[in-house]
Amino acid sequence: MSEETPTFDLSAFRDPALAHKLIERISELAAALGETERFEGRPIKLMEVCGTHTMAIAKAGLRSVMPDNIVLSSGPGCPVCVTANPDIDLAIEVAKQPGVILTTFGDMIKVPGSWTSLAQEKARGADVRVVYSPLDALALAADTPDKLVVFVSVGFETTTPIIAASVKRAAAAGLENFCILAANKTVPEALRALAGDPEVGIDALILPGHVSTIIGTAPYEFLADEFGVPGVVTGFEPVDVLLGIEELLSSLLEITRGGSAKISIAYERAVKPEGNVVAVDLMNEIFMPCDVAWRGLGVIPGTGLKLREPYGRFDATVRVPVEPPESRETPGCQCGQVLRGIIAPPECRLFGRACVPEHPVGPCMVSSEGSCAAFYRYRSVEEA
Amino acid sequence: MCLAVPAHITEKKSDQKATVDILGLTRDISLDLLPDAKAGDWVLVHAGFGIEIVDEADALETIELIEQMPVGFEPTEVPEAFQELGYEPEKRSDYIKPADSGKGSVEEVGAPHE
Ligand code: SF4
Repeated sequence: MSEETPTFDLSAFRDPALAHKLIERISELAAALGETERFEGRPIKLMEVCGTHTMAIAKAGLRSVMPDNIVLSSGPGCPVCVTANPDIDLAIEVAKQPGVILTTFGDMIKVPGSWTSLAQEKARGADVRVVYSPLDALALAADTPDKLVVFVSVGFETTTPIIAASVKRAAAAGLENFCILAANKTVPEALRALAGDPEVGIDALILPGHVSTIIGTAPYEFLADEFGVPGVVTGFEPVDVLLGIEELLSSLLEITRGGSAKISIAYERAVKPEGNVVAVDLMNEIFMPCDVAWRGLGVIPGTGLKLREPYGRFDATVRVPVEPPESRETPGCQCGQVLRGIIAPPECRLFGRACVPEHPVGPCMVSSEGSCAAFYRYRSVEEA
Repeated sequence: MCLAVPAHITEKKSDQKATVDILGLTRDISLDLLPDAKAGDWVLVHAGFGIEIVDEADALETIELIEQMPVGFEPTEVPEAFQELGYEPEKRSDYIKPADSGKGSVEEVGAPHE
Protein backbone atom coordinates (compact mmCIF):
# COMPACT_ATOMS: atom_id res chain seq x y z
CA MET A 1 0.00 0.00 0.00
CA SER A 2 1.48 3.32 -0.94
CA GLU A 3 1.81 6.17 1.55
CA GLU A 4 -0.97 8.14 -0.13
CA THR A 5 -3.52 5.37 0.07
CA PRO A 6 -6.22 6.83 2.25
CA THR A 7 -7.54 4.55 4.94
CA PHE A 8 -10.93 4.36 6.54
CA ASP A 9 -9.69 4.20 10.07
CA LEU A 10 -11.54 1.58 12.09
CA SER A 11 -8.81 0.97 14.64
CA ALA A 12 -10.83 2.59 17.41
CA PHE A 13 -13.41 -0.15 16.91
CA ARG A 14 -10.77 -2.67 17.91
CA ASP A 15 -9.45 -0.66 20.80
CA PRO A 16 -9.07 -2.89 23.88
CA ALA A 17 -9.69 0.02 26.24
CA LEU A 18 -13.04 0.83 24.66
CA ALA A 19 -13.93 -2.85 24.56
CA HIS A 20 -13.01 -3.19 28.21
CA LYS A 21 -15.20 -0.29 29.14
CA LEU A 22 -18.18 -1.71 27.29
CA ILE A 23 -17.64 -5.09 28.93
CA GLU A 24 -17.76 -3.39 32.32
CA ARG A 25 -21.02 -1.71 31.44
CA ILE A 26 -22.42 -4.96 30.14
CA SER A 27 -21.51 -6.66 33.44
CA GLU A 28 -23.22 -3.95 35.44
CA LEU A 29 -26.34 -4.05 33.29
CA ALA A 30 -26.42 -7.85 33.41
CA ALA A 31 -26.16 -7.78 37.19
CA ALA A 32 -28.96 -5.24 37.44
CA LEU A 33 -31.12 -7.30 35.08
CA GLY A 34 -30.43 -10.44 37.11
CA GLU A 35 -32.09 -8.77 40.06
CA THR A 36 -35.31 -7.98 38.23
CA GLU A 37 -38.31 -10.20 38.53
CA ARG A 38 -38.29 -10.97 34.84
CA PHE A 39 -34.71 -12.21 34.61
CA GLU A 40 -33.98 -13.45 38.10
CA GLY A 41 -32.40 -16.88 38.04
CA ARG A 42 -32.44 -17.32 34.31
CA PRO A 43 -30.14 -16.49 31.41
CA ILE A 44 -30.86 -13.60 29.09
CA LYS A 45 -30.77 -14.84 25.53
CA LEU A 46 -29.53 -12.49 22.82
CA MET A 47 -29.59 -13.83 19.29
CA GLU A 48 -27.54 -12.67 16.37
CA VAL A 49 -28.93 -13.45 12.93
CA CYS A 50 -26.08 -12.64 10.59
CA GLY A 51 -23.25 -14.98 9.65
CA THR A 52 -20.76 -12.13 9.70
CA HIS A 53 -21.73 -11.47 13.33
CA THR A 54 -21.40 -15.19 14.08
CA MET A 55 -17.82 -15.03 12.84
CA ALA A 56 -17.04 -11.70 14.51
CA ILE A 57 -18.27 -12.92 17.91
CA ALA A 58 -16.39 -16.20 17.67
CA LYS A 59 -13.21 -14.61 16.38
CA ALA A 60 -13.06 -11.98 19.10
CA GLY A 61 -13.96 -14.54 21.77
CA LEU A 62 -16.81 -12.35 22.96
CA ARG A 63 -18.70 -15.26 24.55
CA SER A 64 -15.86 -15.75 27.00
CA VAL A 65 -16.16 -12.18 28.29
CA MET A 66 -19.92 -12.19 28.75
CA PRO A 67 -21.37 -12.25 32.27
CA ASP A 68 -22.76 -15.67 33.30
CA ASN A 69 -26.37 -14.69 32.73
CA ILE A 70 -25.88 -13.50 29.15
CA VAL A 71 -26.15 -16.08 26.39
CA LEU A 72 -25.14 -15.13 22.85
CA SER A 73 -26.82 -17.52 20.46
CA SER A 74 -26.65 -17.66 16.68
CA GLY A 75 -29.70 -17.81 14.48
CA PRO A 76 -30.33 -18.41 10.78
CA GLY A 77 -27.80 -15.83 9.61
CA CYS A 78 -25.94 -17.61 6.87
CA PRO A 79 -27.77 -17.60 3.51
CA VAL A 80 -25.92 -20.72 2.41
CA CYS A 81 -26.83 -22.60 5.59
CA VAL A 82 -30.53 -21.77 5.39
CA THR A 83 -30.83 -22.88 1.77
CA ALA A 84 -32.96 -26.01 1.93
CA ASN A 85 -31.76 -29.25 0.40
CA PRO A 86 -34.31 -29.25 -2.48
CA ASP A 87 -32.89 -25.91 -3.68
CA ILE A 88 -29.32 -27.20 -3.52
CA ASP A 89 -30.38 -30.37 -5.32
CA LEU A 90 -31.97 -28.24 -8.03
CA ALA A 91 -28.74 -26.29 -8.57
CA ILE A 92 -26.79 -29.53 -8.78
CA GLU A 93 -29.22 -30.98 -11.31
CA VAL A 94 -29.02 -27.84 -13.46
CA ALA A 95 -25.21 -27.97 -13.34
CA LYS A 96 -25.31 -31.48 -14.81
CA GLN A 97 -27.18 -30.38 -17.95
CA PRO A 98 -25.22 -30.11 -21.20
CA GLY A 99 -24.57 -26.59 -22.46
CA VAL A 100 -24.85 -25.09 -18.97
CA ILE A 101 -22.17 -23.18 -17.09
CA LEU A 102 -23.24 -22.91 -13.47
CA THR A 103 -21.81 -19.93 -11.62
CA THR A 104 -21.98 -19.51 -7.87
CA PHE A 105 -20.55 -17.68 -4.89
CA GLY A 106 -17.73 -19.75 -3.43
CA ASP A 107 -19.54 -20.55 -0.18
CA MET A 108 -22.11 -22.65 -1.98
CA ILE A 109 -19.88 -25.03 -3.87
CA LYS A 110 -19.02 -27.53 -1.14
CA VAL A 111 -22.40 -27.55 0.54
CA PRO A 112 -23.78 -31.07 0.45
CA GLY A 113 -27.24 -31.48 -1.03
CA SER A 114 -29.24 -34.64 -0.46
CA TRP A 115 -26.92 -36.86 -2.43
CA THR A 116 -23.97 -34.91 -3.79
CA SER A 117 -22.51 -31.39 -3.93
CA LEU A 118 -21.62 -28.94 -6.69
CA ALA A 119 -17.94 -29.62 -5.97
CA GLN A 120 -18.44 -33.35 -6.50
CA GLU A 121 -20.32 -32.76 -9.75
CA LYS A 122 -17.59 -30.41 -10.92
CA ALA A 123 -15.05 -33.17 -10.27
CA ARG A 124 -17.25 -35.43 -12.42
CA GLY A 125 -17.14 -32.94 -15.28
CA ALA A 126 -19.95 -30.43 -14.71
CA ASP A 127 -18.95 -26.88 -15.64
CA VAL A 128 -19.26 -25.15 -12.26
CA ARG A 129 -17.43 -21.87 -11.70
CA VAL A 130 -16.99 -19.70 -8.66
CA VAL A 131 -17.58 -15.99 -9.20
CA TYR A 132 -17.07 -13.04 -6.89
CA SER A 133 -19.95 -11.04 -8.33
CA PRO A 134 -22.95 -11.80 -10.54
CA LEU A 135 -21.36 -9.27 -12.91
CA ASP A 136 -18.63 -11.87 -13.52
CA ALA A 137 -21.39 -14.27 -14.58
CA LEU A 138 -22.72 -11.62 -16.98
CA ALA A 139 -19.27 -11.16 -18.48
CA LEU A 140 -18.97 -14.91 -18.89
CA ALA A 141 -22.35 -15.02 -20.67
CA ALA A 142 -21.15 -12.31 -23.06
CA ASP A 143 -17.98 -14.33 -23.76
CA THR A 144 -19.74 -17.68 -24.27
CA PRO A 145 -22.84 -17.00 -26.37
CA ASP A 146 -23.28 -20.71 -27.15
CA LYS A 147 -23.64 -21.62 -23.45
CA LEU A 148 -26.36 -20.88 -20.93
CA VAL A 149 -24.79 -19.21 -17.91
CA VAL A 150 -26.83 -19.90 -14.77
CA PHE A 151 -26.14 -17.97 -11.56
CA VAL A 152 -27.09 -19.58 -8.25
CA SER A 153 -28.78 -16.69 -6.58
CA VAL A 154 -28.60 -16.99 -2.81
CA GLY A 155 -28.40 -14.23 -0.27
CA PHE A 156 -30.36 -11.87 1.93
CA GLU A 157 -31.24 -8.24 1.24
CA THR A 158 -27.56 -7.27 1.15
CA THR A 159 -27.07 -9.39 -1.94
CA THR A 160 -30.48 -9.43 -3.60
CA PRO A 161 -30.32 -5.84 -4.98
CA ILE A 162 -26.99 -6.71 -6.57
CA ILE A 163 -28.56 -9.65 -8.33
CA ALA A 164 -31.52 -7.48 -9.30
CA ALA A 165 -29.12 -4.93 -10.81
CA SER A 166 -27.35 -7.72 -12.70
CA VAL A 167 -30.61 -9.08 -14.14
CA LYS A 168 -31.51 -5.57 -15.23
CA ARG A 169 -28.12 -5.15 -16.85
CA ALA A 170 -28.54 -8.50 -18.63
CA ALA A 171 -31.93 -7.41 -19.96
CA ALA A 172 -30.54 -4.06 -21.14
CA ALA A 173 -27.58 -5.75 -22.84
CA GLY A 174 -29.79 -8.42 -24.45
CA LEU A 175 -27.83 -11.21 -22.74
CA GLU A 176 -30.47 -13.87 -23.17
CA ASN A 177 -28.04 -16.69 -22.34
CA PHE A 178 -27.91 -15.56 -18.72
CA CYS A 179 -30.38 -16.65 -16.05
CA ILE A 180 -30.61 -17.16 -12.31
CA LEU A 181 -31.78 -19.85 -9.92
CA ALA A 182 -33.51 -17.64 -7.39
CA ALA A 183 -33.18 -18.88 -3.81
CA ASN A 184 -32.91 -15.45 -2.17
CA LYS A 185 -34.57 -14.87 1.14
CA THR A 186 -35.73 -11.88 3.14
CA VAL A 187 -34.89 -11.56 6.82
CA PRO A 188 -37.65 -9.73 8.75
CA GLU A 189 -40.42 -12.32 8.50
CA ALA A 190 -37.99 -15.06 9.49
CA LEU A 191 -37.37 -13.05 12.65
CA ARG A 192 -41.11 -13.09 13.28
CA ALA A 193 -41.03 -16.88 13.17
CA LEU A 194 -38.17 -16.90 15.70
CA ALA A 195 -39.60 -14.22 17.98
CA GLY A 196 -42.89 -16.07 18.19
CA ASP A 197 -41.32 -19.45 18.95
CA PRO A 198 -41.24 -20.20 22.70
CA GLU A 199 -38.72 -22.99 22.16
CA VAL A 200 -36.27 -20.43 20.74
CA GLY A 201 -36.99 -17.99 23.58
CA ILE A 202 -35.27 -14.81 22.41
CA ASP A 203 -35.06 -11.83 24.75
CA ALA A 204 -33.40 -9.42 22.30
CA LEU A 205 -31.98 -9.42 18.77
CA ILE A 206 -28.67 -8.27 17.33
CA LEU A 207 -29.85 -7.25 13.87
CA PRO A 208 -27.74 -7.74 10.74
CA GLY A 209 -25.52 -4.82 9.74
CA HIS A 210 -25.46 -4.91 5.98
CA VAL A 211 -28.96 -6.29 5.44
CA SER A 212 -30.04 -3.19 7.36
CA THR A 213 -27.81 -0.98 5.21
CA ILE A 214 -30.28 -1.87 2.46
CA ILE A 215 -33.65 -2.15 4.25
CA GLY A 216 -33.19 0.31 7.11
CA THR A 217 -34.96 -0.25 10.43
CA ALA A 218 -38.68 0.13 9.63
CA PRO A 219 -39.13 -3.54 8.62
CA TYR A 220 -38.06 -4.63 12.14
CA GLU A 221 -40.38 -2.36 14.13
CA PHE A 222 -42.96 -5.12 14.54
CA LEU A 223 -40.48 -7.04 16.71
CA ALA A 224 -40.62 -4.29 19.31
CA ASP A 225 -44.30 -3.44 18.83
CA GLU A 226 -45.80 -6.91 18.61
CA PHE A 227 -43.37 -9.06 20.56
CA GLY A 228 -41.72 -6.58 22.92
CA VAL A 229 -38.34 -7.78 21.64
CA PRO A 230 -35.76 -4.97 21.36
CA GLY A 231 -33.30 -5.06 18.48
CA VAL A 232 -30.12 -3.24 17.60
CA VAL A 233 -28.43 -2.98 14.22
CA THR A 234 -24.71 -3.19 14.73
CA GLY A 235 -21.43 -3.52 12.87
CA PHE A 236 -18.77 -6.19 12.87
CA GLU A 237 -15.79 -4.94 14.83
CA PRO A 238 -15.55 -6.09 18.46
CA VAL A 239 -16.46 -2.64 19.76
CA ASP A 240 -19.49 -2.52 17.43
CA VAL A 241 -20.81 -5.83 18.70
CA LEU A 242 -20.19 -4.91 22.35
CA LEU A 243 -21.91 -1.56 21.87
CA GLY A 244 -24.89 -3.40 20.39
CA ILE A 245 -25.06 -5.76 23.37
CA GLU A 246 -24.78 -2.82 25.75
CA GLU A 247 -27.70 -1.10 24.01
CA LEU A 248 -29.84 -4.23 24.12
CA LEU A 249 -29.25 -4.73 27.84
CA SER A 250 -30.00 -1.05 28.54
CA SER A 251 -33.14 -1.46 26.52
CA LEU A 252 -34.19 -4.60 28.42
CA LEU A 253 -33.59 -2.84 31.71
CA GLU A 254 -35.78 0.03 30.59
CA ILE A 255 -38.47 -2.45 29.65
CA THR A 256 -38.37 -4.02 33.12
CA ARG A 257 -38.93 -0.52 34.46
CA GLY A 258 -42.02 0.03 32.36
CA GLY A 259 -40.42 1.35 29.17
CA SER A 260 -41.24 -0.04 25.73
CA ALA A 261 -39.03 -2.05 23.40
CA LYS A 262 -37.32 -0.24 20.55
CA ILE A 263 -35.25 -0.90 17.47
CA SER A 264 -32.04 1.13 17.34
CA ILE A 265 -28.90 1.57 15.26
CA ALA A 266 -25.40 1.26 16.72
CA TYR A 267 -23.81 1.24 13.25
CA GLU A 268 -24.51 4.78 12.07
CA ARG A 269 -21.52 4.89 9.78
CA ALA A 270 -23.12 2.35 7.45
CA VAL A 271 -26.84 2.25 8.20
CA LYS A 272 -29.44 4.96 7.74
CA PRO A 273 -32.89 4.50 9.28
CA GLU A 274 -34.44 4.55 5.80
CA GLY A 275 -31.85 2.19 4.29
CA ASN A 276 -30.76 2.40 0.65
CA VAL A 277 -33.95 3.36 -1.13
CA VAL A 278 -32.49 2.94 -4.63
CA ALA A 279 -31.51 -0.63 -3.79
CA VAL A 280 -34.89 -1.50 -2.26
CA ASP A 281 -36.76 -0.06 -5.26
CA LEU A 282 -34.60 -2.04 -7.65
CA MET A 283 -35.15 -5.22 -5.65
CA ASN A 284 -38.93 -4.67 -5.80
CA GLU A 285 -38.81 -3.87 -9.49
CA ILE A 286 -37.16 -7.17 -10.40
CA PHE A 287 -38.42 -9.54 -7.69
CA MET A 288 -41.69 -10.27 -5.94
CA PRO A 289 -42.24 -12.18 -2.69
CA CYS A 290 -43.10 -15.87 -2.66
CA ASP A 291 -43.19 -18.62 -0.05
CA VAL A 292 -39.95 -20.45 0.53
CA ALA A 293 -38.62 -23.24 2.75
CA TRP A 294 -35.71 -22.44 5.08
CA ARG A 295 -33.53 -25.17 6.46
CA GLY A 296 -34.56 -25.64 10.08
CA LEU A 297 -37.43 -23.16 9.97
CA GLY A 298 -39.71 -24.71 7.37
CA VAL A 299 -41.75 -22.67 4.90
CA ILE A 300 -42.01 -19.01 5.89
CA PRO A 301 -44.66 -17.21 3.84
CA GLY A 302 -43.45 -14.32 1.73
CA THR A 303 -39.75 -14.64 2.54
CA GLY A 304 -38.71 -16.01 -0.84
CA LEU A 305 -38.22 -14.01 -4.01
CA LYS A 306 -39.12 -14.79 -7.59
CA LEU A 307 -38.62 -12.83 -10.76
CA ARG A 308 -41.36 -10.41 -11.72
CA GLU A 309 -42.43 -9.86 -15.33
CA PRO A 310 -40.94 -8.87 -17.72
CA TYR A 311 -37.92 -10.61 -16.16
CA GLY A 312 -39.46 -14.11 -15.93
CA ARG A 313 -37.32 -15.21 -18.87
CA PHE A 314 -34.25 -14.97 -16.64
CA ASP A 315 -35.62 -17.72 -14.40
CA ALA A 316 -33.42 -20.80 -14.76
CA THR A 317 -36.25 -23.17 -13.80
CA VAL A 318 -38.04 -22.03 -16.96
CA ARG A 319 -34.92 -22.18 -19.15
CA VAL A 320 -33.61 -25.54 -17.90
CA PRO A 321 -36.50 -27.59 -16.57
CA VAL A 322 -35.04 -30.49 -14.55
CA GLU A 323 -36.31 -33.01 -12.07
CA PRO A 324 -33.89 -33.49 -9.22
CA PRO A 325 -33.96 -36.76 -7.30
CA GLU A 326 -36.06 -36.79 -4.16
CA SER A 327 -34.51 -34.76 -1.35
CA ARG A 328 -33.62 -35.98 2.11
CA GLU A 329 -32.12 -34.44 5.21
CA THR A 330 -28.52 -35.30 5.97
CA PRO A 331 -28.63 -38.14 8.50
CA GLY A 332 -27.42 -37.13 11.98
CA CYS A 333 -26.95 -33.45 11.17
CA GLN A 334 -28.63 -31.06 13.59
CA CYS A 335 -28.18 -27.90 11.53
CA GLY A 336 -31.92 -27.28 11.79
CA GLN A 337 -31.69 -26.85 15.55
CA VAL A 338 -28.41 -24.96 15.34
CA LEU A 339 -30.05 -22.47 12.94
CA ARG A 340 -32.86 -21.82 15.41
CA GLY A 341 -30.39 -21.33 18.23
CA ILE A 342 -31.93 -24.23 20.14
CA ILE A 343 -28.62 -26.03 20.45
CA ALA A 344 -25.10 -24.64 20.25
CA PRO A 345 -22.91 -26.43 17.68
CA PRO A 346 -20.87 -28.44 20.23
CA GLU A 347 -24.11 -30.00 21.41
CA CYS A 348 -24.41 -31.81 18.08
CA ARG A 349 -23.05 -35.32 18.51
CA LEU A 350 -21.15 -35.15 15.24
CA PHE A 351 -19.45 -31.82 15.99
CA GLY A 352 -15.67 -32.11 15.94
CA ARG A 353 -15.87 -35.88 15.42
CA ALA A 354 -17.53 -37.03 12.23
CA CYS A 355 -18.13 -33.39 11.28
CA VAL A 356 -15.12 -31.10 10.87
CA PRO A 357 -14.42 -28.47 8.19
CA GLU A 358 -12.29 -30.95 6.19
CA HIS A 359 -15.15 -33.50 6.15
CA PRO A 360 -18.27 -31.45 6.80
CA VAL A 361 -21.54 -33.26 7.33
CA GLY A 362 -23.88 -30.27 7.24
CA PRO A 363 -23.91 -26.81 5.68
CA CYS A 364 -23.28 -25.09 9.03
CA MET A 365 -19.82 -26.66 9.04
CA VAL A 366 -19.14 -26.06 5.32
CA SER A 367 -19.93 -22.41 4.97
CA SER A 368 -17.21 -20.10 6.20
CA GLU A 369 -19.90 -18.24 8.14
CA GLY A 370 -21.79 -21.24 9.45
CA SER A 371 -22.20 -21.44 13.21
CA CYS A 372 -20.56 -24.86 13.42
CA ALA A 373 -17.57 -23.70 11.37
CA ALA A 374 -17.23 -20.56 13.50
CA PHE A 375 -17.33 -22.55 16.74
CA TYR A 376 -14.89 -25.11 15.40
CA ARG A 377 -12.41 -22.65 14.01
CA TYR A 378 -12.26 -20.50 17.13
CA ARG A 379 -12.99 -23.21 19.69
CA SER A 380 -9.94 -22.44 21.82
CA VAL A 381 -11.14 -18.85 22.10
CA GLU A 382 -14.71 -19.91 22.86
CA GLU A 383 -13.59 -22.29 25.58
CA ALA A 384 -11.19 -19.82 27.15
CA MET B 1 -21.81 -13.75 3.10
CA CYS B 2 -23.07 -10.27 3.73
CA LEU B 3 -19.53 -9.07 4.24
CA ALA B 4 -18.85 -5.62 2.83
CA VAL B 5 -15.62 -3.65 2.99
CA PRO B 6 -14.94 0.08 2.75
CA ALA B 7 -13.39 1.25 -0.51
CA HIS B 8 -12.34 4.68 -1.70
CA ILE B 9 -13.67 5.92 -5.04
CA THR B 10 -10.78 7.21 -7.11
CA GLU B 11 -12.62 7.79 -10.36
CA LYS B 12 -16.21 7.78 -11.50
CA LYS B 13 -16.67 6.29 -14.95
CA SER B 14 -19.45 5.92 -17.49
CA ASP B 15 -22.19 3.29 -17.25
CA GLN B 16 -22.54 3.74 -13.45
CA LYS B 17 -19.11 2.28 -12.81
CA ALA B 18 -16.28 3.54 -10.66
CA THR B 19 -12.68 2.68 -9.95
CA VAL B 20 -12.00 2.15 -6.28
CA ASP B 21 -9.07 1.52 -4.02
CA ILE B 22 -10.12 -1.43 -1.91
CA LEU B 23 -7.67 -2.46 0.79
CA GLY B 24 -4.83 -1.27 -1.44
CA LEU B 25 -6.08 -2.98 -4.60
CA THR B 26 -7.55 -1.19 -7.60
CA ARG B 27 -10.91 -2.53 -8.73
CA ASP B 28 -13.89 -1.46 -10.78
CA ILE B 29 -17.25 -1.58 -9.05
CA SER B 30 -20.81 -0.83 -10.08
CA LEU B 31 -22.65 2.17 -8.65
CA ASP B 32 -26.08 0.95 -9.77
CA LEU B 33 -27.21 1.07 -6.13
CA LEU B 34 -25.42 4.35 -5.33
CA PRO B 35 -26.05 6.67 -8.26
CA ASP B 36 -25.03 9.72 -6.21
CA ALA B 37 -21.63 8.47 -5.03
CA LYS B 38 -18.71 10.56 -6.31
CA ALA B 39 -14.94 10.44 -6.47
CA GLY B 40 -13.45 10.81 -2.99
CA ASP B 41 -16.38 9.06 -1.25
CA TRP B 42 -15.93 5.99 0.88
CA VAL B 43 -18.35 3.24 -0.04
CA LEU B 44 -19.09 -0.19 1.35
CA VAL B 45 -18.50 -2.75 -1.37
CA HIS B 46 -20.33 -6.08 -1.50
CA ALA B 47 -19.88 -8.53 -4.40
CA GLY B 48 -18.70 -5.89 -6.84
CA PHE B 49 -21.28 -3.22 -5.99
CA GLY B 50 -21.19 -0.18 -3.75
CA ILE B 51 -24.10 -0.56 -1.31
CA GLU B 52 -23.76 2.55 0.85
CA ILE B 53 -21.66 5.66 1.28
CA VAL B 54 -19.91 5.38 4.64
CA ASP B 55 -19.07 8.37 6.69
CA GLU B 56 -15.95 8.63 8.81
CA ALA B 57 -17.58 11.39 10.86
CA ASP B 58 -20.32 8.98 11.94
CA ALA B 59 -17.67 6.47 12.94
CA LEU B 60 -15.98 9.06 15.12
CA GLU B 61 -19.31 9.99 16.68
CA THR B 62 -19.91 6.40 17.73
CA ILE B 63 -16.50 6.27 19.37
CA GLU B 64 -17.15 9.54 21.12
CA LEU B 65 -20.44 8.23 22.39
CA ILE B 66 -18.70 5.26 23.96
CA GLU B 67 -15.96 7.43 25.38
CA GLN B 68 -18.52 9.62 27.05
CA MET B 69 -20.53 6.76 28.46
CA PRO B 70 -20.21 6.57 32.17
CA VAL B 71 -19.07 3.29 33.55
CA GLY B 72 -21.34 2.62 36.41
CA PHE B 73 -24.07 5.19 36.42
CA GLU B 74 -23.93 8.80 37.38
CA PRO B 75 -25.75 9.35 40.67
CA THR B 76 -28.32 11.60 39.05
CA GLU B 77 -29.38 8.94 36.61
CA VAL B 78 -29.02 5.86 38.77
CA PRO B 79 -32.12 3.84 38.18
CA GLU B 80 -33.50 2.16 41.26
CA ALA B 81 -32.38 -1.24 40.15
CA PHE B 82 -28.78 -0.05 40.25
CA GLN B 83 -28.79 1.61 43.57
CA GLU B 84 -27.48 -1.41 45.44
CA LEU B 85 -24.65 -1.89 42.95
CA GLY B 86 -22.48 0.58 44.82
CA TYR B 87 -21.26 2.62 41.86
CA GLU B 88 -18.09 4.53 42.59
CA PRO B 89 -17.26 7.22 40.04
CA GLU B 90 -13.55 6.98 40.94
CA LYS B 91 -13.51 3.43 39.63
CA ARG B 92 -13.98 4.74 36.15
CA SER B 93 -10.30 5.49 35.53
CA ASP B 94 -9.52 1.85 36.26
CA TYR B 95 -11.28 0.62 33.18
CA ILE B 96 -10.45 3.40 30.84
CA LYS B 97 -6.86 2.93 29.92
CA PRO B 98 -5.17 4.59 27.00
CA ALA B 99 -5.06 2.27 24.01
CA ASP B 100 -1.29 1.92 24.18
CA SER B 101 -0.96 1.36 27.92
CA GLY B 102 -0.14 -2.27 27.31
CA LYS B 103 -2.59 -3.24 30.01
CA GLY B 104 -5.71 -5.09 29.11
CA SER B 105 -4.14 -7.31 26.50
CA VAL B 106 -5.98 -8.13 23.33
CA GLU B 107 -6.88 -11.62 24.59
CA GLU B 108 -8.27 -10.31 27.83
CA VAL B 109 -10.72 -7.95 26.31
CA GLY B 110 -11.66 -9.71 23.18
CA ALA B 111 -10.18 -7.74 20.31
CA PRO B 112 -9.66 -9.69 17.10
CA HIS B 113 -6.96 -12.32 16.93
CA GLU B 114 -5.18 -11.24 13.84
S1 SF4 C 1 -21.71 -30.11 13.64
FE1 SF4 C 1 -21.96 -30.77 11.52
S2 SF4 C 1 -23.54 -32.32 11.62
FE2 SF4 C 1 -23.65 -31.18 13.54
S3 SF4 C 1 -25.16 -29.56 13.14
FE3 SF4 C 1 -23.15 -28.70 12.67
S4 SF4 C 1 -22.90 -29.06 10.46
FE4 SF4 C 1 -24.59 -30.39 11.15
